[in-house]
Amino acid sequence: MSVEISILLCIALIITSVTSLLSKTVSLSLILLFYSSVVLNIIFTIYGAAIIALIHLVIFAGAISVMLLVTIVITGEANLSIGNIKNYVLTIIFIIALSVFLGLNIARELRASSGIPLNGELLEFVWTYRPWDLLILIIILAASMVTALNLLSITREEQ
Amino acid sequence: MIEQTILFVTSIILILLAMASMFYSRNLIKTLMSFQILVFGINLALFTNSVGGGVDLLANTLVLFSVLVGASVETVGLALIIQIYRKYGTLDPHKLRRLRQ
Repeated sequence: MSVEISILLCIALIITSVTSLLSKTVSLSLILLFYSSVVLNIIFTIYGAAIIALIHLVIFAGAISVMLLVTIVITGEANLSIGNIKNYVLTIIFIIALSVFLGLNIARELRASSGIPLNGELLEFVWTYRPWDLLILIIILAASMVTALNLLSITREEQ
Repeated sequence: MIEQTILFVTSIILILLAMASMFYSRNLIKTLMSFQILVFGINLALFTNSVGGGVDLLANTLVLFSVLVGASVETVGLALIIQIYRKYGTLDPHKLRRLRQ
């Protein structure tokens, strides 16, 4: 995979995310968030994690986007105020500069430690306890669904 | 290796941007959108380890865990937002604080 494509995709991801956060219109913000999710899935796919990309696409670009849309329709919020936009833009510029500085330094440390082979015991531990990992995930998902249903249900007093 | 650096820098940008947006946000829906971008950044940072050295199962497992936990948290957050709107009629955290007092 050429570096240019990676850079282009990363720039697209940052631009869609920043525009989504800066946009005051709900529909535009939601559409840009969807695009941001799709770009991240493309990055996952081109680096060989197709299953992760699929799950990510189904959950974030599919289910969560629809739920956000439903919430926006129920609450009727058409304007997403982000407070003082000038301060926010200045913060974004500062953050990008700080991230490039931090990221390059941390990546240098990562590069230095990447020659060390991964501990086999760790992988064995992960593989041995994989069913428990999946069970915990299922419990978390089920608990969140029950909580969401409970919160969304209308009681008799409210009716 | 340069690709790993690019992805890592992007993930840090996303994480810090989302945290700043959560700090400045005046709307709970916007805060939840910022949280979603924070999860994107964390997923990308976790995935960065596997770039360049073939498919890394450990990184994939961690990303899967992070995706599902993030989605669960966001689901509960959306339900809470609807309940808050029903009770208080607003989604502005500053107004909500005043209404509670």
